[in-house]
Amino acid sequence: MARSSTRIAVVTVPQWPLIAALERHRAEQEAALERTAHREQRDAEPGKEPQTPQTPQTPVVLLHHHRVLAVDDAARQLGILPGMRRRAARAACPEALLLEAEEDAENALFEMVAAAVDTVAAGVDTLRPGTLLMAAAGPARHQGGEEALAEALIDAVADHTGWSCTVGIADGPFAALLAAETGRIIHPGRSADYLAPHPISALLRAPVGRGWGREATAARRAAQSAGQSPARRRSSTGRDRGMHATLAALHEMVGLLQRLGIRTLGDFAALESGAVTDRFGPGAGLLHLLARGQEAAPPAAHHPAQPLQVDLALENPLERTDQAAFVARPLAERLRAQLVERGLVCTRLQILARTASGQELERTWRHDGALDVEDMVERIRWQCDGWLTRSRMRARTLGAITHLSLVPVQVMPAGLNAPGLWGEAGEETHRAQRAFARAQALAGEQAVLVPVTVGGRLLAEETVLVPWRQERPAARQGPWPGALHGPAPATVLRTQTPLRLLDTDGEPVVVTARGLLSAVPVRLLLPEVPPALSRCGIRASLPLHVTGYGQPVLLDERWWGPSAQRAARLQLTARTPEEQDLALVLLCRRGAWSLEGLYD
Amino acid sequence: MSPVSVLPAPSAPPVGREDHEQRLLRARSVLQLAERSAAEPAGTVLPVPQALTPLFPHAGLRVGSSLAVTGSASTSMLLALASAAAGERSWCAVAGMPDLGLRCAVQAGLDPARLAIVPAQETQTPQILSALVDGVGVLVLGPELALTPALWRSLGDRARSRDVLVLAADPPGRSDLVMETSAQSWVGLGHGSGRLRSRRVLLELRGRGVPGQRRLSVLMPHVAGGIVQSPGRAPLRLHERRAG
Repeated sequence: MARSSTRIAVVTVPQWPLIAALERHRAEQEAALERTAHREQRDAEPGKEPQTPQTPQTPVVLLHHHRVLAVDDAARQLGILPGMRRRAARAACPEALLLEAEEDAENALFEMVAAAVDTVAAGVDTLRPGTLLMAAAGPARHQGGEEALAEALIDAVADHTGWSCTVGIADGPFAALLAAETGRIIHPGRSADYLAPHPISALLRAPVGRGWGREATAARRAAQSAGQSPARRRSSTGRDRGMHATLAALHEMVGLLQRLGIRTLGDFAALESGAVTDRFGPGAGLLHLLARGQEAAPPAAHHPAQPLQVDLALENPLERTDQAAFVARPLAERLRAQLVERGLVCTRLQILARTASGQELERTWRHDGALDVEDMVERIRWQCDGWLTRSRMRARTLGAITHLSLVPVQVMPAGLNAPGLWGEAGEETHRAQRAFARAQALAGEQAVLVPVTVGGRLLAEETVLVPWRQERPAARQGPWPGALHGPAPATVLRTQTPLRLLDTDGEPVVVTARGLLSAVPVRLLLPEVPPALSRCGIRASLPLHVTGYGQPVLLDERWWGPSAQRAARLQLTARTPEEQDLALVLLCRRGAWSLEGLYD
Repeated sequence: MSPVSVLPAPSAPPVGREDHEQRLLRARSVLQLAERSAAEPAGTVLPVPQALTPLFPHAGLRVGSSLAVTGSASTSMLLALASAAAGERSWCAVAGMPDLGLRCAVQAGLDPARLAIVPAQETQTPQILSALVDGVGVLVLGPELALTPALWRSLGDRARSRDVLVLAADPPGRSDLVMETSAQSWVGLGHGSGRLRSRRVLLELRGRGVPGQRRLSVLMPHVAGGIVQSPGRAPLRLHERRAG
């Protein structure tokens, strides 16, 4: 995880789920009135005026599965609060309008706000319905200052959609998000100070995407459903999808921190990050980073050598949203396969579409944590829904969508975030990852290393060990002439181990310029015996009898330049004092032999 | 006077005797069942390389058990056993083998995506090893680790409770099974030509569940990279174990 932070602007439409639900309700009412108006016209009753849609003056309450999710001001004054049950809300205000929250519609409608913000700034990421993030440096320069940018954004959203929004600008996404609630611009470098006094419950509004806390919820779900019947398990998984699972996990984390005595974000940020990750898991490590005013995934994190993109040319152009669900899945699975192949995970996904009229549309979705196929499919569906809704509302034909592409704009090495395919594999992986995080917290990054094959001629160079969770070095291309074929030695010595190879006269054996041995090797002498060989009973300066040897293979590295290195590799078997056959791989450089590997 | 047999007809045995015999039979069958079930391993049995199954009791390695591998082919055997035990899902951590040949590990079948190498540390070795035992499925301990007998014992207890297989190259204490390897001869190299192809290795296994000792002769690595049983000759006596 990187440690820098960029200037970020956040646009929020407060109470977005409520606004989206109201829009939907109004649209339904208009549709119903139109139907009745048509029916009345057909019945030919003159003199009756068509009724205008009823604007709700009554308090509005948004529900999700029988719990109150959001209330407007009128309802709040009557005493209805988020978290109450449906019955309690009804009791407090019988004539309140109760609406059901629907995530798909919220996402689709938010596309209009995103399109409005697009007219002012580029590089807009949707974090969740109601919140947009973008890097502020470029657009601010274009508009002539950050205040001007904020005003332009508010005006654009009001002009194009009619809703009012608030803008906040700060270093790092979390500070910008909290600043956006009150419409503030924080000075550069002061984000940590701005965040510190906020209570720890502000973490509930942290800009983590849907992937956050997924391991914790999955583990908890697996533990809970171990004893439940399959029917009950199926119903509970439906409820856990979506932002509500993330919110539940965040509530849990905030409750835990409060019980431990951490009251403000400043207290949380003062803890040591390694200790936090070790104790609470990687999700809390991300929150800790955000609470410090830093960013987990800066915009220019990792660009793969070969840009990844998957395209799909649609034979039947997309005109309805249910068609989008069909085409989204194979596309998302192809992208995921490519990402998995490279050991990467996507944190910002760009969805591009081209319509029949040649117009190009694009939207970038931002995410923390691994995007699995389900997430990608949902986003593609919402995005297509949003575009089609936009065209309907603007009464401007967008044309049918003929091309869809997915571009992972920002990828990170998989490491911690890669989800398991099946439940048990994921469980074992998470157990191992927790153990490695713990070991690294104890003894530093170098305590746990993973092998990465980069390619090379020498056995010691072709695989390198990098600390776990660090970015892997790119593999070096190219055939490696002279590489060892056949079985590889189990012990590869990474320290110089000189030895002497002697012929019958006691003269040293060398490899001539033509790649041949100068004499038949008969004896092998080791002035210093590495521990791997001393276990086989070999003592220093005790000659070993050579029983077989192969042909020297020349390794000619970079012969075209001044850093040319020539070496020769020889396979050899020798007899130990205990009458065992020992196989060795030797390297000869400029007449000096050293031990490369031992077939242990 | 002809002798009158006082015994009843042999076709109808007396009721008391039949009960006794039947009960004895039943008791014997129950005891057999109990013995068989006690001989079965409690817990999962991890697979071992195909050619080594006749060597191991239960045709595999019990989770939570420990196996010490010594001898001149110990590293390759440790890698082969670890890869077979890790299978498709488990993670493997190799601690204290600074000079491990990673290509050989991949050839033996270890998945580099599920492999972690832990270099030997001067301090905090016990804490790191116990953290690893909590997480991975197979733990391989190299000979370079300075293990104290107390640490080895506590690792063994922890591994038993966490269902982790521990493979050690030179443990300072007792382990459930001990395997001695002895590399006999290499095939493939001549005098100035050829390359190493395969080697004959003699294996001897002793320990819990193994009556006496079991011996097997295998070719490792075989031409295709695996382990196969060496055909033909009966295994020779292993060399005397050197002192120290």
